[in-house]
Amino acid sequence: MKGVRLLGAVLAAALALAGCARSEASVAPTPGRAVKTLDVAHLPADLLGLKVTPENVSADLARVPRAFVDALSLYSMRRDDLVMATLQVSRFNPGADAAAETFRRTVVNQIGATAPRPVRLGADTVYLTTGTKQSIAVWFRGRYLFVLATRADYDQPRTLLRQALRIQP
Amino acid sequence: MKRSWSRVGLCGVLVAATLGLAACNGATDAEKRLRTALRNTEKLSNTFLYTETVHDTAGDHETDVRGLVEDDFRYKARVAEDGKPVLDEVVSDDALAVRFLDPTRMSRFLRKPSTARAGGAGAAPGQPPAAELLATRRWVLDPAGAPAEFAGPDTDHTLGDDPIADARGVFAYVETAVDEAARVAEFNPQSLEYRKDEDPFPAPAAHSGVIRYDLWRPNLPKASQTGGGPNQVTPDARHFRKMSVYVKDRRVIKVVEKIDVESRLKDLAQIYDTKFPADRSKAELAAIAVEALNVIRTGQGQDPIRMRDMDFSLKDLGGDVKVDMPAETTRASLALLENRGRAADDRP
Repeated sequence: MKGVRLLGAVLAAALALAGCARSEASVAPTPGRAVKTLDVAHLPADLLGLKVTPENVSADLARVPRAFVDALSLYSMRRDDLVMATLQVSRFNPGADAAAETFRRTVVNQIGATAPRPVRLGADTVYLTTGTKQSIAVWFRGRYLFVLATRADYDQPRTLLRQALRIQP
Repeated sequence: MKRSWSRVGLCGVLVAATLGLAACNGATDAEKRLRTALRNTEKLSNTFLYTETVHDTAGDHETDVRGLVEDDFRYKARVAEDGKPVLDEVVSDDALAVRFLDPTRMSRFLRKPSTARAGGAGAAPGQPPAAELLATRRWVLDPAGAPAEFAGPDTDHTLGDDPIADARGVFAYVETAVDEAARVAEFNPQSLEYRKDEDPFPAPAAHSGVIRYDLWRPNLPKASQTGGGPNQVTPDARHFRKMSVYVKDRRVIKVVEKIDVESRLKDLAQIYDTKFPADRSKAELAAIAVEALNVIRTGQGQDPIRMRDMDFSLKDLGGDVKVDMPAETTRASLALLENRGRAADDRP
């Protein structure tokens, strides 16, 4: 059951990123199996009491023929054994114009089931959308893309987001 | 002589056409500039004052909301009714703190029966429920009670139900008003269309650098219009709305609105082939007319028209505004309040 939830998140993200390769932002895609694991150096061991654990997504990525990122990591955040949230950190392929608003919109529009809505948290712009029984927050740090998916019944999604915004790739 | 008159006539036509085109272009550009100003401002920290005066058959009722916004998830607000402070609210991410300065006014803020949740007034173990705590004017903290996202242009939110949400949602409200307006034009008292006696709002002060954008309301629908459905199209707030937005340095500093029914009483009488009593004031007639329209509107499942004056002023845009939670609080669920203390699955 836990695996199914994680798989859903990974696939959604991977497909979204694969979709970007076909978009107006024409950057050479990376085959899914060539996408490296991204090492986020300063990731805390827990966020808001949730244990942060890296997940192996290489098998899922291998099924994606063309990705728009060259490195990616997915972390689960668990309370006891239950996944309350996942954080995906990806690095765009070289040449991606990740600072451009149109590029960002293209990426964000392919994540989630509802039209993304920008909100301001401190100095950051975060795009909020929803998935099936989950809230999704998306933000950018230079070439890096962060996607935080939170269970809909998790009671501190905004506080978790605020803490996740402090993570630097 | 005949030729010269025809030249004069042609010239007149050309001038009229040119003016017409100029007005069209101006409106389009003005709308773009206004929308840009809204976008430039809506995400900035600020301090604000929102004042709404509602006019109905029972008289006038004023609600003020003043507060500060650090970012989209952190704000502080105080609600006053008819000049008396009623409610303080502080939101910091998921946490919500509320206290009633006048607990006798609590009923307006309670969750409507249709949206009430079982057990919504729950308390922490060993603590009295929120309703009892709030009645004592104490701060109550709900760590996961922050309101759902405030209004976007597509949000289904009834004006007046939640004054803090109304104040926080002014930008989305203005966007919708722009969509609904016949056109947007920069304030120009020299314009042939301008009528000073129909303008309820102040002109920008000379040399202030303030630009005023006016939203022009559409004509009232005809009685025969059905809008493609079986129901008659009833007038909407848009048909009575006068709204102006004041912009300085490409940022919105003030929004004013008047839902002006009085000025359209004559049109209403003509369209609906009715006569208003001559022994009543215009204000009274407007209240009666809106009450009658609202009977039809609510019967058709539409929001009632809220006959109001609204004034929204912004200061300290982009300044160092910080929201702190109150120091002494008691924990309890605030789900008894409208749009507060929701289960997490209701919150994006």
